[in-house]
Amino acid sequence: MIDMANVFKTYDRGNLALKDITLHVDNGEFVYLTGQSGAGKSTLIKLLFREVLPDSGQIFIAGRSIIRLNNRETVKLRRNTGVVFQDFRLMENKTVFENVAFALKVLEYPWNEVKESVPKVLERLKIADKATAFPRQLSGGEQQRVAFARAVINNPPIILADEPTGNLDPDTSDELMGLFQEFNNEGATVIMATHDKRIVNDTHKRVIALRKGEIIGDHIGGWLL
Amino acid sequence: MKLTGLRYILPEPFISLRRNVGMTVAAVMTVILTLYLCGIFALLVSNINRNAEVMEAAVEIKVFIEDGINQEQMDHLSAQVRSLDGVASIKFVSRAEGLEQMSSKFGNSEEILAAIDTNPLPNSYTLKAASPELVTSIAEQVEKLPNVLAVRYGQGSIEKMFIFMNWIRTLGIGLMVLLGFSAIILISMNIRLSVEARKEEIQVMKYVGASNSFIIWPFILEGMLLGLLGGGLACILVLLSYNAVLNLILNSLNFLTFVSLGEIAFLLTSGMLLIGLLLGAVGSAIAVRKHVNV
Ligand SMILES: Nc1ncnc2c1ncn2[C@@H]1O[C@H](COP(=O)(O)OP(=O)(O)O)[C@@H](O)[C@H]1O
Ligand SMILES: [Mg+2]
Repeated sequence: MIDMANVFKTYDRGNLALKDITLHVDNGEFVYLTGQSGAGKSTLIKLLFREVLPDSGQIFIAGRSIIRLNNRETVKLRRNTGVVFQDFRLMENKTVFENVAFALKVLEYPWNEVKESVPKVLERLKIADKATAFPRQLSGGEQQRVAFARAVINNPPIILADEPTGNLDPDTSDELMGLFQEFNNEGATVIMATHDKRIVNDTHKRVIALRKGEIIGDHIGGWLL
Repeated sequence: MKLTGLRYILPEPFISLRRNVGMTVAAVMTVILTLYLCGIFALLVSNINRNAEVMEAAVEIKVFIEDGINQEQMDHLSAQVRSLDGVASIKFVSRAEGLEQMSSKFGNSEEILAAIDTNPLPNSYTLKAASPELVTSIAEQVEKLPNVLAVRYGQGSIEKMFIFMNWIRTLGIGLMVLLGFSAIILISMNIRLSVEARKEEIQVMKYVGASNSFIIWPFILEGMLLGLLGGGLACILVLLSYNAVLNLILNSLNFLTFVSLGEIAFLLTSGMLLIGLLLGAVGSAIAVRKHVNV
């Protein structure tokens, strides 16, 4: 499903963020990316939805290289990838409903369908009563649910998350993790960057550990640093 | 873009303008202020032009003809005058007509006729020059023709007036261009700020897979709407101000001609709306383009 081969990434100021990364993630896997702050987790996630491009190396998703894509293909890649961030990144001037609906509108879903699917997903994520609220009127946990709803509403095969629980308390984190698990159970491939030891240790999953831009471990279960 | 997409895009700017009230008000104010000044200057320039035109039209060269020449000589003279460079029109004025014109200028003709028992005026031609700069040279050439008694025209004062008028006109147009440029810069800067303030929103649109046109068009439409709104309000203000000024000075400055409100209203309105629309569209297009490169 996802393959990276000898990927290097250096930022403008010469910061080597990723060094010779080679990895393979199967369809339907749930993978944690761990490592201290600055290890390169976010960069790796960003490479997967083409927020940044590698200096060298190859990245394949569903068998296709995503290095050289035109605008149209990039848009298509993003439509097949749900992304959740630590800071939620909701559109502040849009209501909860509009934020989620936007993901379907850009796909030009007919309004009938939008009108049906959005309440359904809000219901499922237990934020249906907040549909007309604006993001600033919600708690962190609620905002992250909205962001999650937006990411998954069109059932993307890949869900990427960059420290999604970073701003949430433990209980709220566990609820959100439950949602990721649900969608993973339904077939989505999940890649989640986190440095939340508790979460990683509680769930027995594959952990890819990074340090200073290099993979230093790739095991099922446990916490590696 | 399919119809569904259009349906989703069209309402966006209205919602966004309403929800970003602060930004909207600031941007509309900028448009109003700059376009108002532009509008006032446009009126000033067109009034200067109008007065210049009126004066231009009034520049005439009087060519007095010697008495006692026959029809053939007369025809020859008029043909010669006609063939001179820059002569726009020539009109024969008989001595009787000339006296009438003169007396209508100076008062009751019968009184004058009574005062002088014979008509002292010779026959004449009234010439109009194609442009005021040509008046002197035409007059000099006509003076040398046979059977011409005398040539009269503004001689100096008119030309100075025109140089002055042209100068003011150029100055006005220059100022208007300058104002126009600052309007473009101000408005696009303002719109850029409001787009800048929403660059996270644009980022998010990209994350969920919005195509460039899906991101750009609402902003462009929003800019157009802002521009139209500002342009329309500025236009109303300009027309109101002009009306007030006309009422105030029309009577006291009756030696000048003013462009009437009715004459200018349509052109001014459509011009200002169009300029507002374009400035808004271009301003936001430039601002938003920077952020959409995937
Ligand atoms: N936009 C950027 N410009 C320059 N350097 C960056 C940028 N983003 C990240 N880096 C650097 O790249 C390295 C990896 O960062 P990041 O991928 O954000 O790590 P993590 O998410 O694990 O904290 C760090 O050294 C960081 O300073
Ligand atoms: Mg990070």
